[in-house]
Amino acid sequence: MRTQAIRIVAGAVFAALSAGPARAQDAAWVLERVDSTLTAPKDIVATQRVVLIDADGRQKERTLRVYQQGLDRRLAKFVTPAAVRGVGFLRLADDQMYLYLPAFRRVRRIASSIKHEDFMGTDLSYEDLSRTHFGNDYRAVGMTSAEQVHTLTLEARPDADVSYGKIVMRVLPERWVIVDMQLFARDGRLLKTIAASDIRQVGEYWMAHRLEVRTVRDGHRTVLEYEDLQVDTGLSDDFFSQRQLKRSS
Amino acid sequence: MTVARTRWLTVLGAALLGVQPVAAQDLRFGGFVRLDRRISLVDPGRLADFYHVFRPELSASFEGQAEVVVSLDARFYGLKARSAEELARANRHVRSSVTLWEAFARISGFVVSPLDLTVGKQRILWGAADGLNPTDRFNAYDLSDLTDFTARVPVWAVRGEYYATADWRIEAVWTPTAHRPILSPGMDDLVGGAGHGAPPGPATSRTGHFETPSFGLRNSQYGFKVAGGAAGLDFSASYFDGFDGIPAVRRVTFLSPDASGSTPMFDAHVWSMLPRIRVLGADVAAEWRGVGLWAEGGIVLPDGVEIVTDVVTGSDSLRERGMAIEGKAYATWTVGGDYRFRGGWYLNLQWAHGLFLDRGAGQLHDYLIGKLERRLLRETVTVSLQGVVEVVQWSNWSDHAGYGVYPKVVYSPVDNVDLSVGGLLAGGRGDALFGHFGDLNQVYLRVEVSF
Repeated sequence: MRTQAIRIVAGAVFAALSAGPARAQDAAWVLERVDSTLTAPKDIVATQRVVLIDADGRQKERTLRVYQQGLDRRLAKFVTPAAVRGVGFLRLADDQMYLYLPAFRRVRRIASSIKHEDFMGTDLSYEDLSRTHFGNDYRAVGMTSAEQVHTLTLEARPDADVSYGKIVMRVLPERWVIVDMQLFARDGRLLKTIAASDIRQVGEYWMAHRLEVRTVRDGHRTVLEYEDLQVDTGLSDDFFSQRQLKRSS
Repeated sequence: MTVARTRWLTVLGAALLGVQPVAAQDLRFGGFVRLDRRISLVDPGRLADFYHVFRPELSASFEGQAEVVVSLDARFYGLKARSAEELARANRHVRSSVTLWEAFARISGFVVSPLDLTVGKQRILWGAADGLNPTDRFNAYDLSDLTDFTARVPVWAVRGEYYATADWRIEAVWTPTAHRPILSPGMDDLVGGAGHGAPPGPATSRTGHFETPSFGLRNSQYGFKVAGGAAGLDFSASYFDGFDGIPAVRRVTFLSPDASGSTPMFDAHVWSMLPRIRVLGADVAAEWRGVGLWAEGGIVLPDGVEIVTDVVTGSDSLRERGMAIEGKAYATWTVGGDYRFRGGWYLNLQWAHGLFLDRGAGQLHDYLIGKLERRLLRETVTVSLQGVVEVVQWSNWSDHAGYGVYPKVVYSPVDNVDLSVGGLLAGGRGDALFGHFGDLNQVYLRVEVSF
């Protein structure tokens, strides 16, 4: 009798334990699909129109030419406004980053501590802009599914040097495209929301062409629109170099 | 036009013809206008000598393979009503100046794909330190603004950069001459040697004669650099053979207007030139736990410069000889780091052994330079405080030290418009460089519009 009771309790505990990991595994599997979708294009080339909108509706606009390859390599150059025209940003593996300042004709290495800072007054930090793979810094801890949308909850890994403690993202199944995200501080405060729209197929890939980022604290928003978005253009590894950063285009 | 300049333009033309003819993909006209008003803190209410700048730039890009840039630098000193006396007091003879600032063509993949060639008047920046670069020697200093020690004057040059890989490159630079630096009013007096053998009594006038190096092989400058990256480090080694950026006085003549010599007053004539130097340099940049780190140094091998001083009183004259610059090697270096804290604070610290006016074995001062910056309201407002502590003698630092404080607030109400207010507060004791700047303490109001 006692042995049977132990077996029943043990069975219940096993069932409970196995049910939790099963859901986490589903979430992890979905996160893998999301990361795979984000990193599927060999490279991306686009013109990015960035509109900064403050709480009173005043707008500022920037235009950048962006190039991205794989997880690590990213090169961005400002086209407008005039005060920052030609300023370039290069990110390589291991958070190695460089800034090109045309006024001084100078490439300067910058410390990765900049990644927590807002990028040129936008609602996006350097970290937001360079992230293409959530699985490196976050683990999926939960998922719910409703109305053809998965809602994933991610928690920062203890050793990850990231600004957000938790991310809640909604993902379109099958296409594995992120529809929106809520970004929380480690103390649980909601910091930012990101909404993706204008989701279209480019080559073999489904990609959002418009992102709206809102900072909760001050109500400031940044709208990013991708124009002339191209994928798999055949950019070489050498393109992501200080040499290219210095070039005018 | 001189033969040398004609040859130079021929080289420029040949370089341009090295590219396949393509239509300009991107033609741009831009630049900035900067209105700058300085108010002296030493003589409250008096406008300090300064200038407004208009710097238009025309650039064209050719399918990303070539680029041509031409810009002008127009400076307008003060108001029209400024008197000749004020100009003379400011050691300035013109109310405005227009110079060709940059004029270069850059060709990527010149002859062979890894080679980039840049020909024309350009800025050649060497070194990993932040603005205080002991290996940055090709461009003359522009020290006209004592609130900015990093400004330089573009130089005519041919520059080749061969990218062996994305991380490794070899660079060679040749310039047919060197340019004289632009110095702040009063800075001429700080150039080493001017006071050598000076007679007692004040100089009633000071006439400067600067011997500009002429175009030609003998006065050319050249340098090489090997730069690479590995294991998260960026590093380079370089060699420079050219001119020091700050003139040295080689001859001074004191003439007494009183033939009897009974009046202890003299007219001073000062001849200065750019001394020849060679610099063996190296730098490294890295990162540790989010902190940017850099170190840069150079061993300077100067040619000795003799100074001859004549004191002429009536029919009598007295000649004295000495060394303005000893031909001994010395080392100069900068180490530093920076970090951006969460919340928008930025801290930058550098320790420089030797700044622009320092030279000579055992003659270099030490400078601890710090900058604290905070960007507010999404970069609409930037507040910064920069400070310099200068130590001339560590053994007696309290009597031989200087300081400089540079507060600054920049407000950008709309794109392309910056309104700035800032200042310079400097002082010091003994031979401190910043002690000499105390007479130039000032606040400034500046409007800069980019277009």
